[in-house]
Amino acid sequence: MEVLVLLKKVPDTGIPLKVAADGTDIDRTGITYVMSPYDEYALEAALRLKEGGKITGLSVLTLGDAGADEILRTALAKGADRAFRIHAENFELLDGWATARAIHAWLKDQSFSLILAGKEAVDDASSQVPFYLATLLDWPAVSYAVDLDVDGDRAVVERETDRGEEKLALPLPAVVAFDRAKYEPRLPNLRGIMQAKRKPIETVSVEIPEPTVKRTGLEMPPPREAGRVTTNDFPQNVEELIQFLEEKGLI
Amino acid sequence: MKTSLAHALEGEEHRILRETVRRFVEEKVRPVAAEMDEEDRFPRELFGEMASLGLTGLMVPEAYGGFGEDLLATVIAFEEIGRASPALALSLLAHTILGALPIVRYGTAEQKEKYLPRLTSGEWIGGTAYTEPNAGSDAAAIQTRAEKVEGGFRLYGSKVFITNGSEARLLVVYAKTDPEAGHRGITAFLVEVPAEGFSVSKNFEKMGMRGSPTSALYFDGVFVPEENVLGTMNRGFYQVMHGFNVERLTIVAISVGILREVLEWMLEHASVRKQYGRPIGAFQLIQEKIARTFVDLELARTYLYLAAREYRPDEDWRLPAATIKIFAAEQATRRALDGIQVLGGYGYTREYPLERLLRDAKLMEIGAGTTEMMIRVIARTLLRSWGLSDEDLEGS
Repeated sequence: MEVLVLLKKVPDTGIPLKVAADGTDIDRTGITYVMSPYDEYALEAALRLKEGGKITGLSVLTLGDAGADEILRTALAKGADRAFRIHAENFELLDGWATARAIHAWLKDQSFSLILAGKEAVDDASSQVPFYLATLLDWPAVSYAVDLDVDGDRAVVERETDRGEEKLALPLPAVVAFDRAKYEPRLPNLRGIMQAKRKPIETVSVEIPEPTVKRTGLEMPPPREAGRVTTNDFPQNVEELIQFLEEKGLI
Repeated sequence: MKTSLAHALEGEEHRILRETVRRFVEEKVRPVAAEMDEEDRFPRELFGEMASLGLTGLMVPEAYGGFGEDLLATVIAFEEIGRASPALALSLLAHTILGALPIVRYGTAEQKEKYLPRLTSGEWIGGTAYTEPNAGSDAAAIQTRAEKVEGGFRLYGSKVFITNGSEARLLVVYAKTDPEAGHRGITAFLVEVPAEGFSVSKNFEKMGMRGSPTSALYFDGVFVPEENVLGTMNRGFYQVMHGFNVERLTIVAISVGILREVLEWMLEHASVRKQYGRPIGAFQLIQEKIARTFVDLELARTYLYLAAREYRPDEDWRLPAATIKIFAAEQATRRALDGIQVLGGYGYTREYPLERLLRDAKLMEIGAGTTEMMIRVIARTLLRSWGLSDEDLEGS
């Protein structure tokens, strides 16, 4: 059984961002990119299935320019078998529907039984691509997975909800989108990095649809107001806090 | 804008490797770095973790569980570890570059099969024993001797300042096998310890690099079987001199790591700390320290990466290794002092790592060849190329 994990290259979450001069994108000069963190959990789940002998092949796919090859190489270094990149310039400007249709154009000739992804990419947080894909493929889909197992022709997904844990079974083929999983994603080890150098990355050309949704403006959130520190002792400080919350209409 | 030209010398695999090491260091090394220093504690448990990532196999061929001989990858890994804990980087250097690499270079197939997997897996700690109480810079003056006995040799003598000395299970020990022949009479031996006749001093109390144990070793008739001669009889001096090049470039990586860490603390403090109503980064005397630290870091790092990338074991690499070692070692010490100055009272406390980095940085001016010896290497190489003979240079 072949599994495909969808990966997206996103700006490093640890670095400060600025809005670009034209106001429709972030300023991308000097930015470093990483694999979107929820995608890392999806990949980790797939690697565990592979190590457990539950799947025969693990492929990864991204849509982007040549700069996105590095996250594919990282995935290969962690243990993925094959990597594909659908070539697209300015992929940051595509919406979820255009991205899903581009992926589907390639995917319909492939033979994967399970597609994994992060529940959202941490850059635009649109949470669309896995579900548009499931729709285009007419496959069942589940989101917010924290664990995954394969049992014959079913995927067994664990989800965490506000009311507790939930276990779902869905027939394969299926799409599963990951939240922060029960386990931490591994680091690629040096042996894996060496081996990844010898694994090919296939570049795929498909027609990239025009986005239907266009971003027209981007603004930084307003700076957070400084907090107020009380200098009173107990119990006056509690009274002050209650008064403060009442003034704000919060209690 | 490119914030570092050095990155232009890296390949994709180096960036992935750096990210792996960086995340490992943030998660596992940084939290224990201060405690290692305070308690002078060797973090044996981290060797297992470094082994699972493959860091104990740097410079070891893939066939023996290593990452292959990629010196640029090696210096990048040491730089990342050196940022958080120069002491851990030093012990890893003794393990891989001084313990395993000589076996890679000079070992027989049997020696490689037997020892390299144990070192790369982190099961055994490795190290090397060359320096003696009366033989430091004058490396040919060692007095430890190996006497030929049936089936092998017996070692007599003592070694000093041996990194990992008290933790190692395998040591590359150099001893005289032809005492009349000077530097042409030294041979390397692979010595498994503990062994009868072998003893270790208490670890030295050091100024810095605490947590990386340093000790004296005593050999009183330690038996080494014939098959544990490493390399060619009486060629040990040449082997150790050749190994110095990689050792020096790797130790430079630790200095570069310190420079990076110092710069980041300066930037952090200069942007957060306010005096006279402004961040202190607005003041030109602070700006000067930041700018000069960046210049030193950039020059050291770019030269190091270039030297590491272009390194060929069959070429004479003494000049570039000595050149960058002088610069990086001295500037790391100097900029660590500047870092303390930028942080002011905070920098002087043990709440911040700068005073530890300063103490650690000083070692790089001494270990793997002192700055004075680097000067000698450079000057003599240049003067020889200008026609001066060994006779002309005698005594220098």
